[in-house]
Amino acid sequence: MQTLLRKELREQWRTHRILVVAAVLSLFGLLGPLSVKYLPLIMARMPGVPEGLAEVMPEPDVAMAVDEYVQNLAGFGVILAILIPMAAVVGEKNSGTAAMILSKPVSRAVFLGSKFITYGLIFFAGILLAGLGGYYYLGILFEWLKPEGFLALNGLLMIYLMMFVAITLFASTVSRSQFAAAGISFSLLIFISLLGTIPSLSPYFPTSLIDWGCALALRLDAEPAWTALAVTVAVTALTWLAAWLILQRQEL
Amino acid sequence: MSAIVIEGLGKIYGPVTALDSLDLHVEQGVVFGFLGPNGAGKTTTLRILAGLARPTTGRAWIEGLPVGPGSHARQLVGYLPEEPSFYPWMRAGEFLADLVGRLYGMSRSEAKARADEMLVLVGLEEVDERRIGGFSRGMRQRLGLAQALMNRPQVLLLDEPVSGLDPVGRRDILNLIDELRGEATVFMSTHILSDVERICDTVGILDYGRLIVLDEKENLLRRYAVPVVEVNFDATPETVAHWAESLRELPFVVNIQLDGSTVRITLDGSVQSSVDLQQLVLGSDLLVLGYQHEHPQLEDVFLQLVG
Repeated sequence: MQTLLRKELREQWRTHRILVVAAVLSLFGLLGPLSVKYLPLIMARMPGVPEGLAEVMPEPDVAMAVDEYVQNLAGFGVILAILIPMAAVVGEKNSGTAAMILSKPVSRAVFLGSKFITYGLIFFAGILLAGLGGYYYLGILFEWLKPEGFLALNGLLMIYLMMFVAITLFASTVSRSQFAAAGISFSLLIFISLLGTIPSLSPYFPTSLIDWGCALALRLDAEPAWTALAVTVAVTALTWLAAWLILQRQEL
Repeated sequence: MSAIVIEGLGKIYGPVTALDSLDLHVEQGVVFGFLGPNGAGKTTTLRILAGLARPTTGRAWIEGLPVGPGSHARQLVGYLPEEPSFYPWMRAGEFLADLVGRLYGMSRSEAKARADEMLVLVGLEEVDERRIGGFSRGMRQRLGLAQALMNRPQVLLLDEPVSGLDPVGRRDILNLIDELRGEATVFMSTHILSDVERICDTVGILDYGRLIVLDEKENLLRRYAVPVVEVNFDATPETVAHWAESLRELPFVVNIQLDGSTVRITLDGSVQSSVDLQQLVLGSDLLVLGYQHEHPQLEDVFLQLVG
């Protein structure tokens, strides 16, 4: 496992994917509180903005800033969680490197597992940087949040993104091109998002994790979304397991 | 014990039968040449032995261990695919030492030492710090062979090992394979018959997924090669043609080809036919400039069997 894990991490570093994930997530993590704070001021000074618009805009507060932070990271994070791993398996199968590696004494579970762990580590690094920057700007621009609540929010965000990493790895295992893999993942994203809008179903869907995380960060009274957490973890585990079982059966 | 045992191996891809009840035993320490036309099933056999594909029917063993994905036989095998693929961002030395060697369970220092040794062996020591993405096809082929040899394999599976190499590279790699005789069992598929003739001890010929012949190379040449005598006369083409026509009626003469003053006579293979022809040539009253028994070629055997 260690050998392939090192190879995967080195690959993410040399192909600059670690930098892309870190840069995008930290940029949008920082932009969340900054844009909520300064957008009304910028708009008020922009020429051509209808008179009185700035006055009717709500006064920015920490809840809006946290919400913006989460929406940014969840939105761009999911896009990265689909685009970064989409070629992970199918690319190696098509190029022949998977055959080269798997003709050596290494299991397919380790091959797939090392990829999942590597993506986990780079998304962890990205969210860590985004979280540190976001927490700092939330503190200096609005108010200092309790660190444990903000940590919980980012932890739930990480779990949410890893579900899409697992789905994309599954799609990359079953499809014949990386674009097909991305297509499958985007379709599942839309499907999950649509089902999450149905009020009777939403408490059980992964999207509820985001609302729960916001409530924890802002120390609001909210129903814990344990079911949604269990569903997210189960979807992650099951899609990874399905990808492994399918890869076991595939010929290279 | 045989190094490779294949029993009733079959592989069907939709309507295509790639392998049809293949039975094969390859003895330890030999260089085995696996021949066949395109689509005969050579690569499929190698992929099954390397644990990358599953047979539809039958089984195979390497050094007594069953092959397949997840098989321990992979620890004993070195595999060079037809078109070896690498991570373009990796360096050659790094690929061998940090990835291949470590996957075989070598310690860091052991893997590094073995990688250096392999790079020298395949002539890539000067470019060990270069990214593989910039390698030519020949360099990739050499690196492919180096990675296949990293674990000191007991069985080396080579799929077209010299394709893409220049003549010097081809000679070097063939010499290298030749030196492995006795140390490892080499199972090598190729289209280049002269290479097989040069280094292989045993030859198997596959056609439409079936093994149509399996024997030691010398036996094959004796059994299937056609004896041909080439005679060059110091006479006009017309005179030579007239003499050659007189041979056509003889029962031991199979075919006659004329090329100016040279005549190429295919015999039926009996020892007496060569003696009789020699007397006929001497009794022709023509000056003989050259008389040569052509050595039987593996190409003749191959064409006779699958042509």
